Amino acid sequence: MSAIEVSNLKKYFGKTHAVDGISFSVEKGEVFGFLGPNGAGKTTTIRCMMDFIRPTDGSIKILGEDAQKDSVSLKEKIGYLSDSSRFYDHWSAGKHLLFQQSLRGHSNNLEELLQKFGLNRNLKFSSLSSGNKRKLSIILALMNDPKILILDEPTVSLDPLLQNTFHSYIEDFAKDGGTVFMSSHNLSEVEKICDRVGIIKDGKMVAVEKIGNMRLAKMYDVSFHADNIDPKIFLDENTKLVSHANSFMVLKVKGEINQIIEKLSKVKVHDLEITHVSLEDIFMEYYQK
Amino acid sequence: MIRLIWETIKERKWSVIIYCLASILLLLLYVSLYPSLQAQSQQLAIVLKTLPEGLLKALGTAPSQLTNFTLEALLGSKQFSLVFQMLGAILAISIAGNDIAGEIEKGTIEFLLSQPVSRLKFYFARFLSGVVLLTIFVAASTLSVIPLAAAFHVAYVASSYYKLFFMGELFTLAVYAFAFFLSATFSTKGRVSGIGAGLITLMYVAFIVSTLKDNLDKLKYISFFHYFSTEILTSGTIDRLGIWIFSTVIVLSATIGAIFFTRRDIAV
Repeated sequence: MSAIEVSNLKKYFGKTHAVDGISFSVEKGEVFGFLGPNGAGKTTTIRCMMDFIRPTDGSIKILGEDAQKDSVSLKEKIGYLSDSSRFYDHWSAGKHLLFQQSLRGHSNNLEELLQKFGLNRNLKFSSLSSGNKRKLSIILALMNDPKILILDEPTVSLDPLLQNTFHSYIEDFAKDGGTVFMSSHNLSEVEKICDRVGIIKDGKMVAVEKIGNMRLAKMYDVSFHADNIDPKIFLDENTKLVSHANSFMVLKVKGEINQIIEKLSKVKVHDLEITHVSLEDIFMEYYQK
Repeated sequence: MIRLIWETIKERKWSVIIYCLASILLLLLYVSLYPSLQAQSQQLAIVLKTLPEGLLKALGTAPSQLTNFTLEALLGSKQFSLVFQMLGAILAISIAGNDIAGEIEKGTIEFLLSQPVSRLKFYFARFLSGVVLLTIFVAASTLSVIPLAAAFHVAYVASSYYKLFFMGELFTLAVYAFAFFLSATFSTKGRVSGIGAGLITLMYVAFIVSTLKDNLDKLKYISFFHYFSTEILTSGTIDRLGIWIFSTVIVLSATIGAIFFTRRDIAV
């Protein structure tokens, strides 16, 4: 049984199809990255999973339970982090933590989390910096030993040190059998901690891939020096010009590399470098599709 | 549920305390002034008795009106003809507006909805906390007359204030329940306040117009101000239709609001 099973999820707001028939599943112990440009439907999907908004069609099962009908019992097992840290201005961080414990019971890992992320629980929420507000959101999501984490842009506003702390916590959480579903714009973070990614664009899922497989995608950066060459001779639907200055040219090639090598063999090239593109470039490719 | 109710009561306590104090201070003013006002009215009644009956008729008064100048008559004309109703309505709309629409507007509702509490439980926890707070306000605004009158050695009819409390509670809760329904429907506090206050104003205008023109007399039936009248104090009578109207508005608004809130999308 998958930890999260989303089938043909649709959410329409009038004529706007925010999410338009997406399906994917996340296995137990997996860290699943949910990517996409702004307005692609990531937060709408997450809100449907949390039962804040109701799907137009389709189903969401989390740990075998219906995300809508069984939302109360499910929320006992879900640690949720919103994309914006909005809490009560006049409450202290500690009062938020106490309030959650009054509804979910005593949290055994709270002290460890407070120590790890270094949050002063006595400060009022309104006086916290944006980074500390984010720390509070993260602690609220991670406390009470959840089985699943649903995280919307978790490391926004966190400094690199705390990002690392968060990443290692997530890795340990997944090793212990926890499941993580997180949306992010931070591609290096996704590359670092996610096992698989789903890419959503215009409400549709354009790819669900293992990070390892994505790295093997046939995309290359080809850089070389060549005198008096018109770049147009290299360009076709799979080859795009990235830059061209002082006889130095950078091309981005999708698919088989042999074609461009064949074309390069017909001109005088001073030096040549062919590398796999970064994972970030691959993501961007999906974003722009 | 009790935790949610208690937290909400703590959140809203200061506005209720301020409204209670304002109400009690006004009552204190009227009760403390009552002995001297009563003495003046009796002297005036003696003067009026010397005037010809025709002139009194022309002036639209009678000495009996002044000799029957009770504390209930004074409070009925000063505090409970409009001031109490307005304070109660403003407080009720303000509490209701903050309860759900205010939470959506501030974005804090996501924190609450991500907890293992059903929407229905959350809705009624908020509703009941408002009921508790408004009951405190209505009790302070009506029943406090009894100790105040006793302190100033002023004669009073205790049963009138119990009845006033009962109808005042129903009036305030009817306004609250309707505003709470608006709060469960909309996502901004401003809309709840705007529509709620607009309706109360319309009801008051309808009530005033119905007293000015005989052919518009029936307009009074659409106004809450008709069912909560000062007659409760002066004659001790309660409008039974008013009890039904207020109770129906409370039950219907709370129920429809609950159905709507449990089904709606909440996106902050």
